Amino acid sequence: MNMENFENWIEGTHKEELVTRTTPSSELLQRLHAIPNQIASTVVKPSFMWISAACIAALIAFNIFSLDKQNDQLENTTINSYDNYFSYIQHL
Amino acid sequence: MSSDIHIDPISFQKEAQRNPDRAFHMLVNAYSHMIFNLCLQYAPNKMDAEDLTQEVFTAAYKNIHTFKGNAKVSTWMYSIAINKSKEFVRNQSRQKRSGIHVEIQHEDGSEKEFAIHFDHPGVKLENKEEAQIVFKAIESLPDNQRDAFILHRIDGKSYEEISEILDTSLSSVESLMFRAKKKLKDLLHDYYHEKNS
Repeated sequence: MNMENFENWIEGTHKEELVTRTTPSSELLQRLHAIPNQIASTVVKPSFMWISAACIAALIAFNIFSLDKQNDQLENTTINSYDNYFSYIQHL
Repeated sequence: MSSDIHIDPISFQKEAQRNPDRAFHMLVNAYSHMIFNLCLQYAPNKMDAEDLTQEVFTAAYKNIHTFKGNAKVSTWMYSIAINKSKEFVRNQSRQKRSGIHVEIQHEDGSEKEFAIHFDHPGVKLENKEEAQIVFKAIESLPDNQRDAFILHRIDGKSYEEISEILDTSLSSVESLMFRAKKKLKDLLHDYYHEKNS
Protein backbone atom coordinates (compact mmCIF):
# COMPACT_ATOMS: atom_id res chain seq x y z
CA MET A 1 0.00 0.00 0.00
CA ASN A 2 1.50 3.36 -0.97
CA MET A 3 1.14 6.66 0.85
CA GLU A 4 -1.89 7.72 -1.17
CA ASN A 5 -3.65 4.44 -0.50
CA PHE A 6 -2.88 4.77 3.19
CA GLU A 7 -4.41 8.24 3.27
CA ASN A 8 -7.46 6.91 1.45
CA TRP A 9 -7.68 4.02 3.90
CA ILE A 10 -7.58 6.47 6.83
CA GLU A 11 -10.36 8.50 5.22
CA GLY A 12 -12.34 5.33 4.51
CA THR A 13 -12.38 5.83 0.75
CA HIS A 14 -9.97 2.97 -0.05
CA LYS A 15 -11.74 -0.14 -1.33
CA GLU A 16 -9.40 -2.73 0.14
CA GLU A 17 -9.78 -3.40 3.84
CA LEU A 18 -6.53 -3.66 5.77
CA VAL A 19 -8.05 -5.95 8.40
CA THR A 20 -10.66 -8.66 7.92
CA ARG A 21 -12.90 -10.07 10.65
CA THR A 22 -11.68 -13.20 12.40
CA THR A 23 -13.81 -15.92 13.92
CA PRO A 24 -12.96 -16.73 17.54
CA SER A 25 -11.67 -20.25 18.12
CA SER A 26 -13.87 -22.94 19.70
CA GLU A 27 -11.40 -23.07 22.63
CA LEU A 28 -12.06 -19.40 23.34
CA LEU A 29 -15.83 -19.95 23.21
CA GLN A 30 -15.47 -22.83 25.66
CA ARG A 31 -13.39 -20.62 27.96
CA LEU A 32 -16.04 -17.89 27.80
CA HIS A 33 -18.94 -20.25 28.52
CA ALA A 34 -16.98 -21.65 31.50
CA ILE A 35 -16.66 -18.21 33.17
CA PRO A 36 -19.77 -18.55 35.45
CA ASN A 37 -18.49 -21.89 36.83
CA GLN A 38 -14.99 -20.49 37.39
CA ILE A 39 -16.34 -17.47 39.25
CA ALA A 40 -18.74 -19.60 41.29
CA SER A 41 -15.85 -21.77 42.49
CA THR A 42 -13.60 -18.83 43.42
CA VAL A 43 -16.08 -16.32 44.85
CA VAL A 44 -17.44 -16.87 48.38
CA LYS A 45 -21.22 -16.51 48.49
CA PRO A 46 -22.54 -13.71 50.77
CA SER A 47 -24.81 -16.20 52.60
CA PHE A 48 -21.76 -18.31 53.47
CA MET A 49 -19.98 -15.22 54.77
CA TRP A 50 -22.96 -14.29 57.00
CA ILE A 51 -23.19 -17.84 58.37
CA SER A 52 -19.44 -17.82 59.15
CA ALA A 53 -19.74 -14.43 60.88
CA ALA A 54 -22.71 -15.66 62.92
CA CYS A 55 -20.77 -18.80 63.99
CA ILE A 56 -17.78 -16.71 65.10
CA ALA A 57 -20.07 -14.32 67.03
CA ALA A 58 -21.78 -17.31 68.74
CA LEU A 59 -18.39 -18.78 69.65
CA ILE A 60 -17.24 -15.48 71.21
CA ALA A 61 -20.52 -15.14 73.15
CA PHE A 62 -20.20 -18.74 74.44
CA ASN A 63 -16.60 -18.06 75.55
CA ILE A 64 -17.60 -14.89 77.43
CA PHE A 65 -20.49 -16.74 79.08
CA SER A 66 -18.22 -19.67 80.10
CA LEU A 67 -15.55 -17.34 81.45
CA ASP A 68 -18.13 -15.44 83.46
CA LYS A 69 -19.56 -18.68 84.89
CA GLN A 70 -16.08 -19.99 85.72
CA ASN A 71 -15.25 -16.75 87.56
CA ASP A 72 -18.42 -17.08 89.64
CA GLN A 73 -17.54 -20.69 90.52
CA LEU A 74 -13.97 -19.73 91.41
CA GLU A 75 -15.23 -16.93 93.64
CA ASN A 76 -17.60 -19.29 95.45
CA THR A 77 -14.83 -21.89 95.90
CA THR A 78 -12.48 -19.26 97.36
CA ILE A 79 -15.15 -18.03 99.79
CA ASN A 80 -15.84 -21.65 100.87
CA SER A 81 -12.12 -22.28 101.49
CA TYR A 82 -11.87 -19.13 103.60
CA ASP A 83 -14.98 -20.19 105.53
CA ASN A 84 -13.50 -23.64 106.17
CA TYR A 85 -10.16 -22.19 107.21
CA PHE A 86 -11.66 -19.74 109.67
CA SER A 87 -14.43 -22.08 110.83
CA TYR A 88 -12.64 -22.61 114.21
CA ILE A 89 -13.46 -18.99 115.05
CA GLN A 90 -17.11 -19.89 115.10
CA HIS A 91 -16.36 -22.36 117.92
CA LEU A 92 -14.69 -19.73 120.09
CA MET B 1 -18.07 -4.29 8.67
CA SER B 2 -20.07 -4.30 11.90
CA SER B 3 -22.57 -7.14 12.28
CA ASP B 4 -24.23 -6.87 15.66
CA ILE B 5 -26.79 -9.38 16.84
CA HIS B 6 -29.60 -7.53 18.54
CA ILE B 7 -30.62 -8.49 22.08
CA ASP B 8 -33.64 -6.66 23.45
CA PRO B 9 -32.31 -4.66 26.45
CA ILE B 10 -35.48 -4.92 28.57
CA SER B 11 -35.81 -8.70 28.23
CA PHE B 12 -32.05 -9.05 28.76
CA GLN B 13 -32.23 -7.02 31.98
CA LYS B 14 -35.10 -9.22 33.26
CA GLU B 15 -33.18 -12.36 32.32
CA ALA B 16 -30.03 -11.02 34.05
CA GLN B 17 -32.01 -10.57 37.29
CA ARG B 18 -33.83 -13.90 36.98
CA ASN B 19 -31.06 -16.14 35.68
CA PRO B 20 -27.66 -14.39 35.28
CA ASP B 21 -25.94 -17.51 33.94
CA ARG B 22 -28.43 -17.91 31.11
CA ALA B 23 -28.25 -14.18 30.31
CA PHE B 24 -24.46 -14.46 30.24
CA HIS B 25 -24.54 -17.36 27.77
CA MET B 26 -26.79 -15.19 25.56
CA LEU B 27 -24.08 -12.50 25.67
CA VAL B 28 -21.34 -14.96 24.70
CA ASN B 29 -23.37 -16.34 21.80
CA ALA B 30 -24.26 -12.88 20.50
CA TYR B 31 -21.12 -10.82 21.08
CA SER B 32 -18.05 -13.07 21.37
CA HIS B 33 -17.27 -12.52 17.68
CA MET B 34 -17.67 -8.74 17.90
CA ILE B 35 -15.68 -8.37 21.13
CA PHE B 36 -12.87 -10.67 19.99
CA ASN B 37 -12.44 -8.60 16.82
CA LEU B 38 -12.44 -5.36 18.81
CA CYS B 39 -9.85 -6.79 21.22
CA LEU B 40 -7.68 -7.72 18.23
CA GLN B 41 -7.39 -4.00 17.39
CA TYR B 42 -5.86 -3.31 20.81
CA ALA B 43 -3.99 -6.58 21.23
CA PRO B 44 -3.07 -7.51 17.64
CA ASN B 45 -2.20 -11.15 18.26
CA LYS B 46 -4.46 -14.14 18.88
CA MET B 47 -3.21 -15.07 22.35
CA ASP B 48 -3.46 -11.59 23.91
CA ALA B 49 -6.77 -10.89 22.18
CA GLU B 50 -8.24 -14.14 23.56
CA ASP B 51 -7.08 -13.30 27.09
CA LEU B 52 -8.47 -9.79 26.74
CA THR B 53 -11.81 -11.14 25.44
CA GLN B 54 -11.99 -13.44 28.46
CA GLU B 55 -11.33 -10.47 30.78
CA VAL B 56 -14.10 -8.49 29.08
CA PHE B 57 -16.66 -11.28 29.49
CA THR B 58 -15.56 -11.94 33.08
CA ALA B 59 -16.18 -8.25 33.88
CA ALA B 60 -19.53 -8.44 32.05
CA TYR B 61 -20.58 -11.48 34.11
CA LYS B 62 -19.57 -9.84 37.39
CA ASN B 63 -21.55 -6.68 36.50
CA ILE B 64 -24.48 -8.30 34.69
CA HIS B 65 -26.91 -7.30 37.47
CA THR B 66 -25.95 -3.60 36.99
CA PHE B 67 -27.16 -3.51 33.37
CA LYS B 68 -29.85 -0.87 32.93
CA GLY B 69 -32.41 -1.58 30.25
CA ASN B 70 -32.13 1.97 28.88
CA ALA B 71 -29.01 1.28 26.75
CA LYS B 72 -28.26 -1.19 23.97
CA VAL B 73 -26.66 -4.43 25.19
CA SER B 74 -23.98 -4.11 22.50
CA THR B 75 -23.15 -0.54 23.66
CA TRP B 76 -22.78 -1.81 27.23
CA MET B 77 -20.49 -4.62 26.05
CA TYR B 78 -18.44 -2.21 23.92
CA SER B 79 -17.97 0.13 26.92
CA ILE B 80 -16.62 -2.75 29.03
CA ALA B 81 -14.38 -3.89 26.16
CA ILE B 82 -12.98 -0.38 25.61
CA ASN B 83 -12.19 0.04 29.31
CA LYS B 84 -10.52 -3.37 29.56
CA SER B 85 -8.57 -2.73 26.35
CA LYS B 86 -7.30 0.59 27.71
CA GLU B 87 -6.15 -1.24 30.86
CA PHE B 88 -4.41 -3.80 28.67
CA VAL B 89 -2.59 -1.16 26.59
CA ARG B 90 -1.57 0.69 29.78
CA ASN B 91 -0.17 -2.54 31.30
CA GLN B 92 1.70 -3.32 28.10
CA SER B 93 3.20 0.18 28.02
CA ARG B 94 4.23 -0.22 31.68
CA GLN B 95 5.91 -3.53 30.84
CA LYS B 96 7.58 -1.86 27.89
CA ARG B 97 8.97 0.85 30.17
CA SER B 98 10.27 -1.81 32.53
CA GLY B 99 12.04 -3.56 29.66
CA ILE B 100 9.61 -6.32 28.61
CA HIS B 101 8.81 -5.50 24.99
CA VAL B 102 9.11 -6.70 21.42
CA GLU B 103 11.44 -4.94 19.04
CA ILE B 104 10.89 -4.74 15.29
CA GLN B 105 13.93 -5.01 13.09
CA HIS B 106 13.65 -2.66 10.13
CA GLU B 107 15.25 -3.13 6.73
CA ASP B 108 17.77 -0.38 7.42
CA GLY B 109 18.88 -2.19 10.58
CA SER B 110 17.28 0.26 13.02
CA GLU B 111 15.02 -1.10 15.71
CA LYS B 112 11.68 0.37 16.65
CA GLU B 113 9.89 -0.51 19.85
CA PHE B 114 6.40 -1.96 19.65
CA ALA B 115 4.63 -2.45 22.97
CA ILE B 116 2.47 -5.39 21.85
CA HIS B 117 3.54 -8.37 19.78
CA PHE B 118 1.98 -8.01 16.30
CA ASP B 119 0.51 -11.09 14.68
CA HIS B 120 -3.02 -10.05 13.71
CA PRO B 121 -4.87 -13.08 12.26
CA GLY B 122 -7.14 -10.80 10.19
CA VAL B 123 -4.28 -9.25 8.21
CA LYS B 124 -3.23 -10.74 4.88
CA LEU B 125 0.43 -11.72 4.74
CA GLU B 126 1.18 -9.25 1.91
CA ASN B 127 -0.30 -6.41 4.00
CA LYS B 128 1.41 -7.42 7.24
CA GLU B 129 4.19 -4.85 7.16
CA GLU B 130 1.86 -1.97 6.31
CA ALA B 131 -0.71 -3.12 8.88
CA GLN B 132 1.99 -3.25 11.52
CA ILE B 133 2.94 0.36 10.75
CA VAL B 134 -0.71 1.46 10.85
CA PHE B 135 -1.31 -0.35 14.14
CA LYS B 136 1.79 1.22 15.65
CA ALA B 137 0.58 4.65 14.52
CA ILE B 138 -2.90 3.95 15.97
CA GLU B 139 -1.30 2.79 19.23
CA SER B 140 0.50 6.12 19.55
CA LEU B 141 -2.73 8.17 19.32
CA PRO B 142 -4.20 9.67 22.51
CA ASP B 143 -6.70 7.28 24.19
CA ASN B 144 -9.98 8.88 23.05
CA GLN B 145 -8.78 9.48 19.48
CA ARG B 146 -7.57 5.88 19.25
CA ASP B 147 -10.89 4.50 20.59
CA ALA B 148 -12.96 6.63 18.20
CA PHE B 149 -10.78 5.73 15.21
CA ILE B 150 -10.81 1.98 15.94
CA LEU B 151 -14.57 1.94 16.50
CA HIS B 152 -15.32 3.91 13.33
CA ARG B 153 -12.68 2.97 10.80
CA ILE B 154 -11.91 -0.62 11.80
CA ASP B 155 -15.10 -1.71 13.56
CA GLY B 156 -17.50 0.17 11.30
CA LYS B 157 -19.44 2.03 14.00
CA SER B 158 -21.33 5.22 13.19
CA TYR B 159 -20.47 8.48 14.99
CA GLU B 160 -23.79 8.23 16.91
CA GLU B 161 -22.93 4.75 18.17
CA ILE B 162 -19.41 5.86 19.12
CA SER B 163 -20.81 8.80 21.11
CA GLU B 164 -22.99 6.33 23.07
CA ILE B 165 -20.14 3.88 23.65
CA LEU B 166 -17.64 6.56 24.73
CA ASP B 167 -20.37 8.48 26.57
CA THR B 168 -19.58 11.73 24.82
CA SER B 169 -21.29 14.17 22.44
CA LEU B 170 -21.55 13.73 18.68
CA SER B 171 -19.48 16.88 18.06
CA SER B 172 -16.73 15.50 20.34
CA VAL B 173 -16.61 12.31 18.27
CA GLU B 174 -16.35 14.35 15.07
CA SER B 175 -13.52 16.37 16.58
CA LEU B 176 -11.76 13.22 17.87
CA MET B 177 -11.99 11.62 14.43
CA PHE B 178 -10.71 14.73 12.67
CA ARG B 179 -7.67 14.95 14.96
CA ALA B 180 -7.04 11.18 14.82
CA LYS B 181 -7.03 11.16 11.01
CA LYS B 182 -4.76 14.20 10.85
CA LYS B 183 -2.30 12.73 13.33
CA LEU B 184 -2.28 9.36 11.58
CA LYS B 185 -1.59 11.00 8.23
CA ASP B 186 1.27 13.00 9.76
CA LEU B 187 2.74 9.89 11.37
CA LEU B 188 2.49 7.86 8.18
CA HIS B 189 3.82 10.77 6.14
CA ASP B 190 6.88 10.88 8.43
CA TYR B 191 7.29 7.12 8.04
CA TYR B 192 7.23 7.30 4.22
CA HIS B 193 9.51 10.32 4.25
CA GLU B 194 12.05 8.40 6.41
CA LYS B 195 11.70 5.29 4.27
CA ASN B 196 12.28 7.12 0.98
CA SER B 197 15.17 9.27 2.17
